Amino acid sequence: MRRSLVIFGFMMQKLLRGWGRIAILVALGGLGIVISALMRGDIGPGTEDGAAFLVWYGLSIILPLGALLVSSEALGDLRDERTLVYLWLRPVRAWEATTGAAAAAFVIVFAFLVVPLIVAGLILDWPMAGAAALAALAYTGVFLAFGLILSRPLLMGLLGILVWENVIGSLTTGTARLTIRSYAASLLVDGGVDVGTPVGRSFAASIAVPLAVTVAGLLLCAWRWRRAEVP
Amino acid sequence: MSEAPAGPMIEVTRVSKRFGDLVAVSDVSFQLGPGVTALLGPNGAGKSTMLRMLSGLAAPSDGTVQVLGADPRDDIELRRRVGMVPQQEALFEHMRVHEFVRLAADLTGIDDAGGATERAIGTVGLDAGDKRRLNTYSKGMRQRAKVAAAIVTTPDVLFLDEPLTGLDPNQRNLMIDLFHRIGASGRCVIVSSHVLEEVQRLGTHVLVMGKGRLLAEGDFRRIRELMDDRPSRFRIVTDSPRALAAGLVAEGLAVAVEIHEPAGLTVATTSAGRFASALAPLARDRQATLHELRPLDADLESVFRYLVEGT
Repeated sequence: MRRSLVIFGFMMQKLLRGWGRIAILVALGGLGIVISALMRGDIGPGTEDGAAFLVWYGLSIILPLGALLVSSEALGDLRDERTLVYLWLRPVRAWEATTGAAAAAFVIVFAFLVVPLIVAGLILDWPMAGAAALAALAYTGVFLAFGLILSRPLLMGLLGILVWENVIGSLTTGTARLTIRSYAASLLVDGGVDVGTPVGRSFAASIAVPLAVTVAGLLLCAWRWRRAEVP
Repeated sequence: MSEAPAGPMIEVTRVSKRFGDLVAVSDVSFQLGPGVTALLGPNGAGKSTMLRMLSGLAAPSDGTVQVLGADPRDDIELRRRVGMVPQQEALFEHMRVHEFVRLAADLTGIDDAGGATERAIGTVGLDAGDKRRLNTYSKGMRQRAKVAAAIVTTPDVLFLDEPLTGLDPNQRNLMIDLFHRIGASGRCVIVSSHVLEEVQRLGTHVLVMGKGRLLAEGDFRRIRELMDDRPSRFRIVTDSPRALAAGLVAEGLAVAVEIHEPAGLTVATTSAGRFASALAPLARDRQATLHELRPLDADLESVFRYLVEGT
């Protein structure tokens, strides 16, 4: 646990350095708030259009994008820069490294994207907290693993967001079952509301599936940490 | 030092490492105990791959590696007792040297991490209070920062991959002294280098690698002696070079003699031991005064040239 905290602190310092990444996150989150405020003026609170915007912009665009930007670079950057060796050579267990890095990535995504989405939800009168937090958690887990496993995690992640979450997930109810946003959106609205993706999953599934995706991502990451050769 | 197993500190048994069709290390075996060992070989000889397998960063394709009786790839706890200076120049550029070394101490979980960090940084001649970030450091300073991070936990086994690269002569002296001190304290230190002059100063115990194979292991002077198919060459300064040369040939002590008038000769012999013991009596018999006897190829460079380049 202590080593997880050390990794967490190290990752926070690493991920928060430089203005580029943070500026993008602030812009994405801030834009959501601004658009929500403008929409409320036009369409009023608690409307289907408001929920559709939150699902599309929040769960399909900025959360996966932001999580990709942060999570894939947490451990992936170290591998590409050939500095992972300085952590790996220490008696750090795979789960300690993985949870420490994931926690740092999640905290940043939560602070810069989930909180603005909660604010946007308040403006449009939709409770975004649970949906956004769960989606952020799942995306963080998946993209953390991308960073350590794939050679071009940003590109592959963008393709994943575009193809998997937005194209495949919009085709049929069946394929929507394969997307994170569908389960997260089910926490936001009932089955009868049209938000551009099939919703209406059971409450248990809406929570369990994103959590399972998170755990799967972390396990994959931990396995890779333990078995891969370190450059 | 932590308690070491009764056997060798490092045991490599028939280890090979392949990357697709490329064989980086081929069927290498050796055992090492305490002290400094130089891992010598030209670029591409397999030294870094060997050190990466010893430290657990890479898995052997065949064979086994044991460090302090454990598998460095799987035994997490072993990493408390092993330090490594990797070859790559990259560091955590945004950190200060104190943060970088402290991170290593904290992740290992040593007592008095703060004190150990300051001591390690001081040992390599850097300033623990330096506020500059590592990305502003010179190559030599970066190397020393890596060494500080490797020794902050006072490891029982220390692997250093080309650690003297980029250091000025004073820094090299400092580092070489440090490695000797660590080795003399009963720890096992392996230092890789392709620079002969460096290796010669690191000590006499060498592992020589070439094209992925272990070409020789041990005291390089002893290795030279064992190369009895290669004549040893000596330079002799005497007042009667012709008489002495004739005597050496007549006694079968030389396979070739080259006379440098007025007072020198170069002798090639395949029995260096017999030559050394018979030379003085022979000179006395031939009434030649010996002023100087100097081996011409007993240094590491000759051994290396013979082993690696075959010349």
